[in-house]
Amino acid sequence: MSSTLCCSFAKNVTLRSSDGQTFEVEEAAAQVSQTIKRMIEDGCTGSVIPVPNLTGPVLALVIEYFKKHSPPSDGCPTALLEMEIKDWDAKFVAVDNDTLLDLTLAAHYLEIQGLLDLTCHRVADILNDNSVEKIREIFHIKNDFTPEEEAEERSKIQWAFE
Amino acid sequence: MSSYLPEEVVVNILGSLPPKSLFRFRCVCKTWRTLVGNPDFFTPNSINQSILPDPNCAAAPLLLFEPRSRFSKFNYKNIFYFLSGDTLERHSLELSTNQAFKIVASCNGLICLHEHYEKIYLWNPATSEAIKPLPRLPPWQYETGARMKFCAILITVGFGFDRRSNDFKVLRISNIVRNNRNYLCYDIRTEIGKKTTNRQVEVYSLSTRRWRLIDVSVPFDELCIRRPLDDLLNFPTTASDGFFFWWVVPTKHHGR
Repeated sequence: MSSTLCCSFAKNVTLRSSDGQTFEVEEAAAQVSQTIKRMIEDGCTGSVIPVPNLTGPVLALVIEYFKKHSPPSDGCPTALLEMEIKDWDAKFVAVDNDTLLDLTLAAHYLEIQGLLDLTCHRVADILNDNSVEKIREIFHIKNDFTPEEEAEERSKIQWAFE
Repeated sequence: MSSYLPEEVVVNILGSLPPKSLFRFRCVCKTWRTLVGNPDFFTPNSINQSILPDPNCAAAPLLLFEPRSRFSKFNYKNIFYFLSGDTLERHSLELSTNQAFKIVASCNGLICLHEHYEKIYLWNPATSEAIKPLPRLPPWQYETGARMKFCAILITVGFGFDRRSNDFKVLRISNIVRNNRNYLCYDIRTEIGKKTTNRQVEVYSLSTRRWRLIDVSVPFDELCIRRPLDDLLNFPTTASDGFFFWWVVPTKHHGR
């Protein structure tokens, strides 16, 4: 009994970001990421798990998310807890656009479905409120249409701009 | 900085946009144009690329809310409402007809409409205000038969997406009820006047744009034939994973 308890407290993993920062996090929490979960299952726990696609600040945010979304140690989540998490989620993605995109990418690389849904919806909301020009700016997308092509494209779907 | 989002992620993002915004963002860049798909859904090749909402996705932006017909001096205008996120989008649709129609089904963002006994339309509310009926409805085989008289053709239409062939399909089942000479007309409720029923089944494929007669034995004898006419025209149908489903009322016990 006591050894089980001991283990559940002791099991931590260390994650290392692309810029060499390391973070220690409970194994159960880190397994919110399917990618990390697989690595743990493959026996990577002994050493440091590299997360080469994420910079330190982004990884720190993702770990915040892990902690909030790790499975509760004492049974099922209550409705109240779920509400609280929902509020927390909304605040979590109320960040500047670049950070939001970084989080979206992180969710994609680390296969965190909940975070991916959350960020994609937030990005979609931002898209919805902005013009085509503004979208290119936010997403750092190069407009590869010639002016003529773009004019033609717009004329085809004039209704969408009304 | 993240100047590059993987295609999967962009699809995920665009997939939760309401149709109007979605098509506006075709203009962002060429990649996005490809991802969104062609606004003219009748182009067969566009089906593959299109990210029309997935019916299995809980956040599918299109939800058919309520069809209405309104008489405006010369012709009907059909008003549809879609619940898109928290906003209700209004679409009006002009058909080249004054006939009433029913909504067969909606699937992957396309809506199939069936005009009373006649034309079948596929409508993408995100793109086209005016729509054309499906071409060349096949004639009823039995219609051409000599001296054949019938007084009721009961049509059931189904619509769905066939994953195996990656194609939208429309199914038309026609029940042709031949007259019993002793009666002037066939009564749909009592079946008085009925003699025999022939059934003809066709499938339309959106990619080939052709109707094909198929030989199937529909495993129930009389397809919803005992229902009052109003109900009959609104018989629920759905298609899932390549199968069509109908709500059917068996008509075995008609001894009277």
